[in-house]
Amino acid sequence: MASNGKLIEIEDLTKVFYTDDVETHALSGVHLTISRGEYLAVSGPSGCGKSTLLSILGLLDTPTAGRYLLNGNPVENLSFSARAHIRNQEIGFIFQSFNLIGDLTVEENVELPLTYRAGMPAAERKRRVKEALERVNMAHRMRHYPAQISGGQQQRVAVARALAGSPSILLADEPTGNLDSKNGEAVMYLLRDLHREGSTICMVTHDPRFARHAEREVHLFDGKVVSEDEIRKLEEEAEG
Amino acid sequence: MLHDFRFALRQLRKAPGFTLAAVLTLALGIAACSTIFSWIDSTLLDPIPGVAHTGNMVTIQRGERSVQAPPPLSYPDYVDLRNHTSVLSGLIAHHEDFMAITGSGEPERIYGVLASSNYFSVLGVHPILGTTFRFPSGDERLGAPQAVISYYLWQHRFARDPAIVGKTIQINRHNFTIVGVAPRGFEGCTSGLRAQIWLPLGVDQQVTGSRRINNRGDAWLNVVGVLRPGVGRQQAQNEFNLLMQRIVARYPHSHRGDNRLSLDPLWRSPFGANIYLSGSLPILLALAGALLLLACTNVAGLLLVRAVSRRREFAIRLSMGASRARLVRQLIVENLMVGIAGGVIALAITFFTARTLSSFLPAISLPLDINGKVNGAVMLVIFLIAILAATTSGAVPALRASTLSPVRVLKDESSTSSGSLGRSRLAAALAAAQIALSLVLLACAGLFVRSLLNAESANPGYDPDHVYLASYDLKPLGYTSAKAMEFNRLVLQRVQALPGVVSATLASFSPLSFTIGSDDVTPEGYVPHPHESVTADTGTVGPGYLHTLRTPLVSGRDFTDADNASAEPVAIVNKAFANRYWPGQQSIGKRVQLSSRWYTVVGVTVNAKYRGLVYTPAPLVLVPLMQDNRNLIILHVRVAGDSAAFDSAIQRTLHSLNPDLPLFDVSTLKQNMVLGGVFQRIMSVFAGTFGLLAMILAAIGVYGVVAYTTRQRTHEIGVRMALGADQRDVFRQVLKQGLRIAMIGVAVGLAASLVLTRYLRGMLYGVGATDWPTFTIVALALCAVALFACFVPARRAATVNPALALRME
Repeated sequence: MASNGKLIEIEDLTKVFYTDDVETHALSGVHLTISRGEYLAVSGPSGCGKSTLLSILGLLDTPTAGRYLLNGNPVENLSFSARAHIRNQEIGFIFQSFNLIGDLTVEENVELPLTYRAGMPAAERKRRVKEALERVNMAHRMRHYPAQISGGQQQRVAVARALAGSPSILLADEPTGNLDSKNGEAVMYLLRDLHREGSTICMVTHDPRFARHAEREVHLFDGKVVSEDEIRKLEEEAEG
Repeated sequence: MLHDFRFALRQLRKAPGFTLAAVLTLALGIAACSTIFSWIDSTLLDPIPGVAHTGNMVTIQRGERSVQAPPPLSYPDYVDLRNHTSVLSGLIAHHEDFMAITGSGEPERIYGVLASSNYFSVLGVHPILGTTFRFPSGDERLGAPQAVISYYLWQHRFARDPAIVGKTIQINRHNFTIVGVAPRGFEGCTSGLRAQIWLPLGVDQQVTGSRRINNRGDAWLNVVGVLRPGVGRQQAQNEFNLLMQRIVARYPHSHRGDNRLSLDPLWRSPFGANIYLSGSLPILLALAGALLLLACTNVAGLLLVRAVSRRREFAIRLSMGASRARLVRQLIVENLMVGIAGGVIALAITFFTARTLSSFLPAISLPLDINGKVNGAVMLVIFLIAILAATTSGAVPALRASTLSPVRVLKDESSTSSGSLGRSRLAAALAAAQIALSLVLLACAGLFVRSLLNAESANPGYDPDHVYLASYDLKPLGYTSAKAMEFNRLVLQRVQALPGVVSATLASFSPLSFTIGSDDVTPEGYVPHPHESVTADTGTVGPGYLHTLRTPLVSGRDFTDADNASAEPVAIVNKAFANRYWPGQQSIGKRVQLSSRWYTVVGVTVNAKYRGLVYTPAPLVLVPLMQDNRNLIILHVRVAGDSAAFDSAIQRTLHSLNPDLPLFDVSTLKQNMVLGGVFQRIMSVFAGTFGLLAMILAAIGVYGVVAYTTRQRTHEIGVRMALGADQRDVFRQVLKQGLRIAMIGVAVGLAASLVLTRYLRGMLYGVGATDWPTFTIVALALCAVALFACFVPARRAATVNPALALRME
């Protein structure tokens, strides 16, 4: 199926959470397109549905309704195992809390997504791991465990892990949320460099300073995509 | 402290699942130990029920130690030793035999004791009614028609008649005056055998028909001595050997063979049940101990998991100023309550299980009593084990809980990396230890089971199928030797004429029923080595014995009707006898002396199993019943078809010859095979039960650890799924975790088994202590069980919702 340079297309996406008798509409009729090579920031206040959107984009969760095309293919109704396969091949995650596995070394953490690829030779995995770590300037810490390196370094390792599988898109969920401003800026520069090298990035953040690093910003409010003007108006209403 | 107990009770009530699991697990381990201990207490530690202090008592054995030790002393030797010893404060002699209460209806067969005059006083047993033997003549050998009856007999036959003393009881058609009633619980001084009547030694001839009391060459008495205070067993043994050497020097012709004496404590006496139990019960106790250790490890694992969920509580206590010792104390108190609850349940279980040992014995007339009982000692042991188990299982988790950092815990340990090696390592090590322990137990069980199967399937030297057995005793009916021989001849003639009977014979014993005797023998031309015991198993058998039992002859012939009282005395020996005493020589035509009489060997048979399914073949001498009449006769009838179907026809035939003849121990040779392997079966059943329980506990342990660590790693599983792991990857990962624990446990268990099973070597038959097929099967079974135990947590992990899992911290 042709994708016309569009990597992700979502139409009228809805996500409803059901808890006991309460229905929570996390996303309501979201339309979004992400093109190849684009650096998109999804911003909005806490609870606006950013992380839910990212989970659906990353095939960690399924929408209640709506369409989701990845590379032109509908992916909203795939089986668990098909979604796992696509996650492994097409998507690289960068989490707010890094989510490195404490029992594995830096090298093993970066290698982890590659171990889920059937048939990839060990030598090829090692090569990719080395490349990814060199790209984030962490090759010298390969044998360390996560607890033995700083938070900033841990996030760089997490970025290397996301890159190692050469995904179509990097999904970053508040990647600076657990970092101080200096390390936060460093991670932002790293993402900017990756974008310049051709990576497609979708970043979720609530911090406008970091959102400005992206070339396009989408605002979410109460589960809906809103324009900048609408945001301003809503903020003014809230202040009034 | 009271506050600790109250709080502990509340905590345990709050977690009923944990409390129930921990209490039951400990109860299982404690009950296994207390059950075996109750048997040890009732047999090895309390070998003479009703006698309080037996620690300074010894039995005396002559010659090499063996399970077929013949009685060591003749009456004259006993008297000489008793009169000259300076190391013993008392030495009693006793001879146990079946007797019959006659004079009123059908004779009632009972097990009785011919006892020396000092029997009760040396043992310190005081009759509850009347007194003990008194000899007006002053000569013990002349005896007196007096009897002391057991509490059981007094209760059941005489309805606790308070005026029983002075009344008459007829034993083997001779009247005896009841002079006393033994106290409740006292059943004689041979371990595991329950006697019901005691008569003076001097009445031996009236009761058994033997004329041996003055014969120095006829050893028929077992003895028990009491060491003087301060005298060691070795010192006493030295003096007895010195005294015996003097006796041998004076009467060399009456003391051929090995006359060395060895003194054994009662717990390992070669006479009675302890010779069998002293080898097997300590091993069973060790296996039960391993099960208890496993239960403690299991509970320690549970406590570790529980401690994780109580980290905040511990942190708050520490931050409020509680010392680490105080926190440890509180946790230990909780564990003590769990342990004591486990002990109470174990006590209830032990009340039932202590009585199960005898259930392994088939119904025979031998009055075996090897059951345990729950007494003060058993209760104390249960209490101590419960305390020990509670502290053992609780110590490590308590110490670990006390070392946590309150600041980190209260900040909720918000971590930026998933999983923690340290947290699960101890729990995994405990689970691996459980696998290792259960492998050791299962390996032992496997070896015992294989050994039993080998013993049961091995050729015993006769064909046990289709052989009917029934016993009778002519002595109580007043038969003379000549009349008895004629009666026996007629029995054979009539039984053999019954339709369906293939052949029939008589014997003084039947295989594997503990009825065969052993005696000193003198093989013609054989010069014993210094201190060599020249003994053999001895039996008296009728014509066609080998033919009826289908025991192959190596050379010579079976006994025939012609081997009667007027013919030359003849004997049949087995290969073990021929090889030991006449190696490389022709045995046929040689002579062997037995009970002062020479017999010419006319046949050599294969080595058959008469004492048990597992023992080294012993030399055997068989002599014809028609040349050496015996009171106890066991009729062996080989039939075509089901042996039980011939019961009424055979009983009718015997009663046609004497309607008053009681038959007892009616069974089949096949049933005797069960008796022959009884100790192997006990070991197999209990080792197998402990092994299975251990496997279940280990499976629960592995399940607990894997379920716990999987739950702890839910977030990590979410990360892995986000990185592309599918359900199969996660499922495999969890299974691999369980398998890794199992493999470590199996490796440690195999190493431990290789070391420990060597101690079982002497109890195994046809299987080595290092039996790789057994070890391999057990190891594979444990791996399979571990994988099975991981199945549920693995499935649960594989169905984790990654989006939800990632939100978990």
